[in-house]
Amino acid sequence: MKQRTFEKLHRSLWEQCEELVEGNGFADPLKLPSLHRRLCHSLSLARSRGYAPSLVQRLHLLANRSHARLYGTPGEAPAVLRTWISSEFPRRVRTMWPYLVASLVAFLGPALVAGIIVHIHPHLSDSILGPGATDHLKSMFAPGSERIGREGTENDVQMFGFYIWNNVSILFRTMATGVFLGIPSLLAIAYNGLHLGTVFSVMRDSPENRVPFFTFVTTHSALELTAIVVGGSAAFRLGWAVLRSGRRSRMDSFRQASIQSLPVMGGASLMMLGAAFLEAFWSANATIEPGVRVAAGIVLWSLVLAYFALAGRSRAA
Amino acid sequence: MIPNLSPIDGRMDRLTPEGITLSLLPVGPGPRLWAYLIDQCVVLGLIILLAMLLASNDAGNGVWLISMFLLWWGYPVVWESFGGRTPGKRALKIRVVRVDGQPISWKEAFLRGLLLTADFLPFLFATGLLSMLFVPGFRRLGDLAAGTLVIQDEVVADPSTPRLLEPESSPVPLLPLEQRALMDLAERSDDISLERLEELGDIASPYTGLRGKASVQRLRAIASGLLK
Repeated sequence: MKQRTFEKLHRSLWEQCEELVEGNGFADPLKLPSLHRRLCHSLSLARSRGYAPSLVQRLHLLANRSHARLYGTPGEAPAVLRTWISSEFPRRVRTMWPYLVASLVAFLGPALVAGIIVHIHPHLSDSILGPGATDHLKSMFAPGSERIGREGTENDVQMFGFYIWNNVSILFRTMATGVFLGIPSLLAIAYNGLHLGTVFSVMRDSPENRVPFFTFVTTHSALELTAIVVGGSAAFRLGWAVLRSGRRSRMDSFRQASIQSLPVMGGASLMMLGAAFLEAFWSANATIEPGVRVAAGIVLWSLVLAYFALAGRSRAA
Repeated sequence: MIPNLSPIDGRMDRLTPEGITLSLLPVGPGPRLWAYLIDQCVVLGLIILLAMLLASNDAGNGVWLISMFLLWWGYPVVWESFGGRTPGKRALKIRVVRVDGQPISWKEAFLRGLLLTADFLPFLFATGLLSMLFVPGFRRLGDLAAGTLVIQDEVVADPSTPRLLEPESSPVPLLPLEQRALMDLAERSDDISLERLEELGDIASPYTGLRGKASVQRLRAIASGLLK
């Protein structure tokens, strides 16, 4: 068959397909399967008969688009975020418990060691935190200031912005670098533990800083520390998938791990955002009774732990 | 499933249930770097603009830091969630799709955006470049994590209808591949220089029995015969 005859024979089919793919015509979407099959047939005819490359190219692109239309899955609406938060996130964290334990050890181990060392040899705190950092820290948590944990008179919103930009970015980096066998993430988490362990120890041993500091950290630490550990578990999951891919190819195993830990990474990021909010607007506010803040901290800690232990256990959730 | 990669033109073929092969054209580091630079200029421009507008006081500073965070991490993710293209990719006519050719959702976009950090390490996207060089289809770590591919956004070439000549029949029966070559020549002969056309005519002389320009005319006449 000559090409022009072929084109004349199929023109109306192609036009219908184009209309359907563009989605602006009045074509019936139910016709798509049969139209697509006929389009594919005409494409293979055009190919096997050696028709002009421009025609084959045109049909190929059209077939590509109608293929996407026919076999594509509708993207999950952001409404899935709700099921993620209510059940998917805690479930995934529980199924990834070995990584969670590893992350917890990587964080608490250095924290405890540093805490004990600094408790016994207080002068070592500056070698961990940096020269002069201990005095600086003590001034930030001096009793009687209106805003705790700040150098001067920074605004709440400014600190919120700083915590978001700094803390959440660090969490993102920690999770992303999990792909390098989890080593950079391990270092980041261990360093965090070392640093925080030292700070906690210094503050505990300093009578005048003790109250401002612990009333400051109790509330937002419920979200922040858990976010670090949970985010670390996602990073370790990625790293382990690359290191020990089992029966999968390394690439496949990595892909699988990243899809599976996606809810965990998203959840950890949300927790970190929440922690930044609390740290800026609630924890630092010395005008709120210290007792209220400690009580809020205890409530939040119990809620977070209960959430990871219990949420999403029922089948219906 | 990763589609087959054609060794000649780097196209990725996949066989569909209809029994035909559809292909995608993965894009290498070059255009993707340009697209990234364009996007980065937009992001940095916006950040600087916001800095000038907001940096007057402490609260404004906080808002600026928040918007910097949103722009830095959110810009590629949000753009790619809707249609798989950032403005830079749109300018370069490239697009992110899943390896099976389907459009990506926000999940893929999030993973790609997150892993961009890992691809950047240790400096200037060294990891991403290495990964693109070694993984078929030029995929960086973010692509591997999300199962995505950056492809050329192909557009239908405007079929410049070959000027029809008095149709002639072929001296010997033609294979489909040979027919295709003739049609290609006829469609593109306006874009080829005269000297090159004459050379091509000489190459075809065993088939046409003519040389140079006359041979090309003969080829185009035969192509006209195939068309109509």
